[in-house]
Amino acid sequence: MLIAGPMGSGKTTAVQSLSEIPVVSTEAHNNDRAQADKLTTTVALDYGEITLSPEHKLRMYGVPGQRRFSFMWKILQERAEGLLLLVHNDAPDPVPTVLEYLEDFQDLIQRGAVAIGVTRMELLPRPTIPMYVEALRAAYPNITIPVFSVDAREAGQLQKVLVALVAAVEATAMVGAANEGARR
Amino acid sequence: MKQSPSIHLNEVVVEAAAASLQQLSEQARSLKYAVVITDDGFELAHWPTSKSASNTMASMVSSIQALSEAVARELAMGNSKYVVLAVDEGQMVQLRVQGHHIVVGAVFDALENLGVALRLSTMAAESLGSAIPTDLELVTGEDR
Repeated sequence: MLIAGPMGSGKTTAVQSLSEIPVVSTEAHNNDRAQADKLTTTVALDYGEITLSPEHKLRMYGVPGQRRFSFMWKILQERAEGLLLLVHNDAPDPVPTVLEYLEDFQDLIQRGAVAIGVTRMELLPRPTIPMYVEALRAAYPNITIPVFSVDAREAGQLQKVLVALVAAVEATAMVGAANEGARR
Repeated sequence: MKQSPSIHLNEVVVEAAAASLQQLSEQARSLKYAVVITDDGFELAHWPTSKSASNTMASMVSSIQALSEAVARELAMGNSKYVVLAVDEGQMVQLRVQGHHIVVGAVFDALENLGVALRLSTMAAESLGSAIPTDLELVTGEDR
């Protein structure tokens, strides 16, 4: 699973909150404090793991938020099956930002599943979740994209999103298998 | 120490970076392309200056550096000294300017001896490191 989204949306925090193993991080000194006022930023990936069952492990890859690292988005989505897109509600134009980021993950969206996690809603309650849902329905009328309000520091909240995402990935796989069977 | 959150905008450092790449190009005719970047992928200088800047190259050098340092850290193998990418058309060498949030990346043609490429790249990084004002913020143990 990929965790993507703009700089400062909480991707690294989310991977750290969820992972059962010490997160492998690639943090670099942040020279773009105007974009996000934090000391470091991810420049390659954050890697963490969750055990889903004795046979299944979910591997999480947090990707850099800045567009100049979009080559990493391309590389990492090749083998991914799900996308959790985080956006912070106090970012400029967060709804268009979600749609803009989704454009870069079209291949993954079509063959896997995607969920949106809106962070920092306690700081700025608008746009509301229904506003995101409406925009996503208009842009993707044939795909159901769930939207959640989440706190990237709260593993429990993120786990609920993950459950929905994993279920959607499995449903997509089942539909794909059924279609394949029907063609034979 | 002087705080330098945007080191790629520091004229002294940018000029020193350009000078180190110019020097590298004069020492290595095999040099095809070179950049000096910040840890987070902002370009300070590139060579040849006649070519436009490659933002992708700067970002890739940043990511590769971070990944190599993460691998060294995870395997408890100490600090990453340099990274070599050898391909059909040549080789890319990259290494950190010791003590700074700055990385040098250099692409050489396939005819260049790897040892020479490594030595010249290291000299360029050392030359740049010595030209950076000592009161600029250094990489600390907490950073790395």
